Amino acid sequence: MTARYRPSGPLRWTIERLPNQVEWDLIGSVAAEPRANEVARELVSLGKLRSSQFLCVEDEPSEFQPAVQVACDQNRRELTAILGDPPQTLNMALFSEVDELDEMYDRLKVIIGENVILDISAVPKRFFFYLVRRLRDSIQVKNLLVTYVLPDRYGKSLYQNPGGWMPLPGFGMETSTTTRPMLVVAVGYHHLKLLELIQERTPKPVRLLMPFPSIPPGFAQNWEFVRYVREQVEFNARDIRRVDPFSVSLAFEHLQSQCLGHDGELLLAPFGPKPLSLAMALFALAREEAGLPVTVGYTQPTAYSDTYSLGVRIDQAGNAVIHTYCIKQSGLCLYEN
Amino acid sequence: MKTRRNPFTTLYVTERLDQADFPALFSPVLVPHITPLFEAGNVVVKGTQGTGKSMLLALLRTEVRMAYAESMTDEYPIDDKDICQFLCAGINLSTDQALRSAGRWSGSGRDRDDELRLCFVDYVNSWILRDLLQSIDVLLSRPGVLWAPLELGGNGDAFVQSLRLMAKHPSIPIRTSDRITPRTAVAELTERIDGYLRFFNGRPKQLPAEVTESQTQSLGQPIADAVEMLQQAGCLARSTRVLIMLDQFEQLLELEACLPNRPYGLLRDTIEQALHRRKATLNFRIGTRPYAWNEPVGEAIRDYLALNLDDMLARKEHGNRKLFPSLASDVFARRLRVYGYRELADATDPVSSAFGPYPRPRKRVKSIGANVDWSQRMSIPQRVDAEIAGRLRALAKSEPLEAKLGVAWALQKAEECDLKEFAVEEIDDLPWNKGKGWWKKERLHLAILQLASDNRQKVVMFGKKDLLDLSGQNVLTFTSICQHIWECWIRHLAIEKISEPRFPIDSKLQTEGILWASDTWHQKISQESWVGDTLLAFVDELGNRLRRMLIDDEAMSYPGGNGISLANRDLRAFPQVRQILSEASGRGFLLQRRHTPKNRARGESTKWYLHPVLAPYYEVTLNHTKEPRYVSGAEVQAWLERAGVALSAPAKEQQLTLPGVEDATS
Repeated sequence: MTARYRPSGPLRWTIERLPNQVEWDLIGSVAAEPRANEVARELVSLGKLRSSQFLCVEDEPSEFQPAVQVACDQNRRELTAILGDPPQTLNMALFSEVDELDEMYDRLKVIIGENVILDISAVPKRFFFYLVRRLRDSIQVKNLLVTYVLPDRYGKSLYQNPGGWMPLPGFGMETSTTTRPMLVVAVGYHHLKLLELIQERTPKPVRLLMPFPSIPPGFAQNWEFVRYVREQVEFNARDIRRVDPFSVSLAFEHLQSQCLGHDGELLLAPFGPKPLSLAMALFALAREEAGLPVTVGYTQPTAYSDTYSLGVRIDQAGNAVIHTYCIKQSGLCLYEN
Repeated sequence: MKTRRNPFTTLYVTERLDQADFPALFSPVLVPHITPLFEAGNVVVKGTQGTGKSMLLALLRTEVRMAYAESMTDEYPIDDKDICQFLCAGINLSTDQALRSAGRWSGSGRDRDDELRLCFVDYVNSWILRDLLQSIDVLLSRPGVLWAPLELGGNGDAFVQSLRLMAKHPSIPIRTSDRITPRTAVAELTERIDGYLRFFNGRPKQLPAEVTESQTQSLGQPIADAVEMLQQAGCLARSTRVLIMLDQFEQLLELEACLPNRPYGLLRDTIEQALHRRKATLNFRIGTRPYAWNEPVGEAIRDYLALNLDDMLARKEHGNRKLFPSLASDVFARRLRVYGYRELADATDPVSSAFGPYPRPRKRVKSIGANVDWSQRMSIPQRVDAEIAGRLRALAKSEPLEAKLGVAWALQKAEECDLKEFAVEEIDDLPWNKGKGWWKKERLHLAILQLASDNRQKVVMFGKKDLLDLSGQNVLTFTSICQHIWECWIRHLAIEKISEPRFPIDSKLQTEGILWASDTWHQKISQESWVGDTLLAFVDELGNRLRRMLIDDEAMSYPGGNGISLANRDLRAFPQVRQILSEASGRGFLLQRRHTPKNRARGESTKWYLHPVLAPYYEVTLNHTKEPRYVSGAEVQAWLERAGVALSAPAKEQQLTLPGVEDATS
């Protein structure tokens, strides 16, 4: 393991310091969350947006649907105003499988060039994990930034009816081992159906990545999550590793150190903040390259609430807080084992 | 101070348990009731979550049998050599990743259906065949442990000879015939399986031609062919039964419900067809939750024997009443022994020793409010005659339970006749205690619940009987309650620095643990795949409604009002109601029973109760006495709407039907 500088910081700050990149191609989303438009807004204001393509992910039918539709329409209008033209969109079903995602990428590939920004703020894991893989592996993409916009706050009701534990598209294990796996869980607010995984696979050892510092009242939910896991499986206090929820690089290195020497099956459960999920995606890809077995799974909810997140966090300068992570620079992947 | 471990921390002791620990923790209490599992023929083991089906199926696995053979303390629960002359290979459809096959077949059309089916069948066949060869290899590597004593077959040379035969057989995906060994054959099957796993990930886009050209159509076929080769080469004795295990069948139902535009039962049919073929060489063992398995009709009845663990463990009027308590006691003692509580484990009745007797009604009331002036606290409705109310208040000072029953009795009398016909002073003779005492017995629990409500407390529960009643004949629920009580107890010992604890565990700690366990089970509802939040909304609506009705029933006219009964014809008219009740029952949060209503004109009916472990959470009574509340489909439909429950998958409604309801409504 070697120490490597992995640029990250506010979007404005990061792209100003990346040499020779004048304009960027954005992959974002048209979603119900207000934060979905912020990266486009900032890129336009900086004059750095070359082209853009937005995913419209349609959930399964739910009680949220009418309100989600209203919020999406509102955000689409706002996006049209920001871009000066209606956004180019790709309509996708939430439970799209790998073949549909391949088709989606084939269409995205046409509009993207060497410099790509993927905004994961309002994109479900099924999609952004897949896109991170494809963009990371793409020879065409030389510079890849992933952005995450902080919301002002989260709603009370986040989603509905999560399904069973299944690998995210393309992230299932490729070796048929039957040994007890190691499990690393990124602690979130809701444990969804993690129990099912623990029940079926009885993993050992179990490690938790705890977002720290967590913002009140979120930390209480995080500890409730830990208590819940503790009820199902034995682990020690030292198996809970605190990690900055917005440092992808640090989380990646935590994963490296925790899994060092574990060559058997590894299960990664990204239930925590999205930057930690991003770290898991990158670590899984690095581990795959090293020929070691890994599964990233999730208990995908069937629908997300229209109030999943509310507002956009604004910094002291009056800009949206956009965490930006440089994944590839000049063709070099910065997250490798 | 000695560190005490919670023997129940790991609740889920299944086939994933380290084999070495299995013999010590497995309870053989059910084994005499499930002997068909070891014998010839197909067997379907049905049971809701926590009934122990995966644990029972694990008993068949080679590594578990080897662990028993090497255990110094525990013997394999079947000692008959003929019954033990079997070999088992299998797959867990969920954990062994067979369900991932569905991820690559988007789009519709018959070709796609066939591709999906072939892919699933071939994956399952390859996995089971590999497991079979690995099992034989393990057994032959130490023939003195099981292979020779059970006379399972010939020697290693015969095994290699059979592999050569397999390599020439078109249905068996082993092609290396030169210098073939068990290891090379297993490696070849592993490569095939891993190729599928890569394909499921989308890399490659297409299965290689050598795989698609050698896919088998029918589930079990290559294994049956392999068994014939094994017998032909003298590797397997003809008298050795080959058991093929498929666990977590219900996952197929959930998967199929998510596959758009696919025929009903696309994947499950492959297994049902395998049973129907009734190949003499193979004996299938299917583990499933009850809701996922269609009841056999016609010819299919002969295809397999069904073992229903829920029925087996259910408390019956005659016989079987002791089966669940015996199982719970044995599971409890084994856990204690392994975790260092040997003295308690070796007691005559360890559950009783740990938790003591259950509280008698008066004690329960005392625990609700020890220093309460019940004459003031007890609620007496205005409509009770003032003089009677006065007498009951006086009685409540010393006998609050009797006074509460007196309120109900007086209200019922007032409804039945003019109270003036009744001499008020007779109330002092506690007339509800006269006769055989059935009236009182049936209302004791409700009276205690209403007193607890008057004092804004929860009903205390502790002791062996309460624990067993709360478990609802489910061993997972039982161990879960034990887990929570033990956690409270360990914490108490640490806080109070008690180094020499005594049993039984303090009743307050037990009550705390029980309430915590009930809360945890309530949370579990929302964790059910795909429908969790919907189920929770409905069960919350039902539970809260039942509680309100029980508390408001001051005349105690419906002491059995902790359940509901619907006419089956009503269920036909309200498919959403039927669906949600089926979902909740199938997943174990409601108990469903046939019901013969008092009024025959209502026709065949079905009744539902909350699972007992949820009773403390919703604050409803536990006992199922007298008649449940009669409700109509329209009423329950209104509850669904009030709870915001939206079920919009007619295909699921068709699939998730419980046998009892299906019989009665079709």
